[in-house]
Amino acid sequence: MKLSTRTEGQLQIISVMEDRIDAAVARAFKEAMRDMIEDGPPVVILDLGQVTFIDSSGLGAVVATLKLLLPDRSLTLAGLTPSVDRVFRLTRMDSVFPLFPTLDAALAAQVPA
Amino acid sequence: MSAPNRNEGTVGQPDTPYGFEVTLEASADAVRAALGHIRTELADRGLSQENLEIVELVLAETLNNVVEHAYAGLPQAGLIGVRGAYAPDDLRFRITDLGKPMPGFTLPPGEAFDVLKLADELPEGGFGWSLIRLLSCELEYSRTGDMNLLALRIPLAAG
Repeated sequence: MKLSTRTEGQLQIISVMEDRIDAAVARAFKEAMRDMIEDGPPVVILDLGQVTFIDSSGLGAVVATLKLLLPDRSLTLAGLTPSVDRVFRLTRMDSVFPLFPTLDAALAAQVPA
Repeated sequence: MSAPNRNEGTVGQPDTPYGFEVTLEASADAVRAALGHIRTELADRGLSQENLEIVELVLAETLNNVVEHAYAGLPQAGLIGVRGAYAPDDLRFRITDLGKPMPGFTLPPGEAFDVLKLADELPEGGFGWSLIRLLSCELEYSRTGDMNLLALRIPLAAG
């Protein structure tokens, strides 16, 4: 599972460098995310712009990441393609995660430090 | 079993009914490959991008359920059969396997999520059946001898 990360002040931006977060890679994704967010800044933005497919296993792994961050840190999702956006809305996870269509929109919504 | 009727129009050409069949090994990697194959088949029949995404999601959930539950804990991977029947506004699938039966010989409920739960209690699983039930209809499960059969219809969105 390829992820890339960069830190900008109080923000950590993690980009998924793969097309799919499905049952074949959900466990690897969850473990890679756990390693990446360790000792990081309070706001994590997950850039899903390259992801064209997520299933319930992938969704579960994203929820698991949120639960690792809470209660002191947050997880924002950015760059949702229509297919990924559909999964989050149908499962009502749009009321759990802040969702933004682009990474730029997610960054703009962060309160300046 | 009913579902919201998203069938607001019909898919374009061709109009002829069409069937296809895929047999795959019960593994997450084989599911991924089979989904790619079925997606190509249906794209060739003119299904819209939205419908292709919905079909891929429903089949991913049903096939992964077979891998993770029906065939869980068995010494070697079993096989899963997928038969699709496509007509312009109607898409049906029959999914068969020789794994364990559904608990209680019935489909899981796929309950709506209580998002008012404390974050600590958010589920990390169980989303699959909710997605299947939201996106398909005429969902039927049967067990005959050693075989599980799941039949479902996916109402095609206009476009």
